[in-house]
Amino acid sequence: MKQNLILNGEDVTLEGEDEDSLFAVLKAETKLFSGIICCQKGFCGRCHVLLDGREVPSCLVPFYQTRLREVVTPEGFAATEEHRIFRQLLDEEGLVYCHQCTEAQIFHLSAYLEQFPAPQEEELRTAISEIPCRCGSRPVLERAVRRLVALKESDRAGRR
Amino acid sequence: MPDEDSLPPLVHSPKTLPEALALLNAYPKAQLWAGGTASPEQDFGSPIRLPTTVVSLHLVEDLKRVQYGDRFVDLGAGMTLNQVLHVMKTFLNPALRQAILATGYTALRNLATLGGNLCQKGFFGDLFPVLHLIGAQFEFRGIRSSRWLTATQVSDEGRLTPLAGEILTRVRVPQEDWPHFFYQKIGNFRTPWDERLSMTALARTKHGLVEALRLIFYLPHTGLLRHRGLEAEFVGQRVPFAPRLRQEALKSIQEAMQGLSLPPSLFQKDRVLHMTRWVLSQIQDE
Repeated sequence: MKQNLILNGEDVTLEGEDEDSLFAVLKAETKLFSGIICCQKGFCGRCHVLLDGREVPSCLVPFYQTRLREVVTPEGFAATEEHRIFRQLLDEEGLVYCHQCTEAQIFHLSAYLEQFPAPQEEELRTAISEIPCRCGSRPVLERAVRRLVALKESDRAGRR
Repeated sequence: MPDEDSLPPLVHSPKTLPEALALLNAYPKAQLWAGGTASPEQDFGSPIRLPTTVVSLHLVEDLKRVQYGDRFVDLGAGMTLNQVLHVMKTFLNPALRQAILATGYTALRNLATLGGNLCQKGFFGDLFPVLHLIGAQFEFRGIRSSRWLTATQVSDEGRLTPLAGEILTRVRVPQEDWPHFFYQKIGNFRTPWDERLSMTALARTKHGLVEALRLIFYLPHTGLLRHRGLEAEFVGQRVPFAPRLRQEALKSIQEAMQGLSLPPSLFQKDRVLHMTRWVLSQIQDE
């Protein structure tokens, strides 16, 4: 089955079966998620995409549900100004990058803050813990995210 | 003739509720598909397992509506759990909010729906015990019928399953102030059944006396444990509760556990008593 959708800002036609996951189709039909091994059960956090602006595990989304919808992958997000700013904050805080989880964390936390712009401290900690990570980078992530929240808040205040 | 299981699934994606109900009527064996997150225990690397005939509800806007009444909010069963959190920011019962936040994680809650959580096969999801305690009602619609069930009627049936041809369409959540609220969940779906449970407690006090107290435990393989007699005994009692009253309450809970048709595990019994003790020690006057 061929299906049209908007992928990272571009109209594309992808082919897959109804019961294929979006992750499987993206991996097979595009060069996205190359090298990423996903648990296929919605646990690992490495296959997350934005589906109509909301972060979802793409391994749990049946391909048929994505018809004419907008999908943004971590690769698409990496080209944005928001990603650059977050990465800069992480660099300043001294994050050591890991191939497994860093990009997934950046993607997840950016999407989270878009959906919940003013999280409480406890909520933020929970959000950081939602992507499995063994690097011990959580304190660094927490500092960077706090700065990002403050930056966004002052940005919003400036616009008001 | 090919085996039915080897055929690709037949997927219908209706856009309205009447369309969805008509499809369910036309295909009696069809299964509803909401967020698709309820059973991620599929084999590693395998495709998503769709039933042979699927009526997918992801485009049905009628199921994502919110209606505000004077003393209640009607939530569309097709709302995602995060939509419920957002929409009900100011109205949401705090214990229900905690139960939602304890369900999965942010990205999963963008897929998981209220109806999906409530209609899991064979057992109640995380939200039903809380909804039971706050006196929620559930609307089921068929092609020519509509019925409301109270949480008590549902729990008598043992699970919240629509009849053939029916869809859970709305959940009516009463708006009452419960200044004291407690929600605690132990374990998740990867934890063995006998090591999982949840507890919800709500209480209201005035001038140092209890106006209302409600307490429920959910033991997945055993069912719901709610002792209305005990709840009634606490009405009018002075807070903080006297040690003797707390001891008697623990004894009552212990007896109630012995009366369950399927006995709780030792672990569950211990946690139920521990959590009851803790809740009763925490309730003070506002």
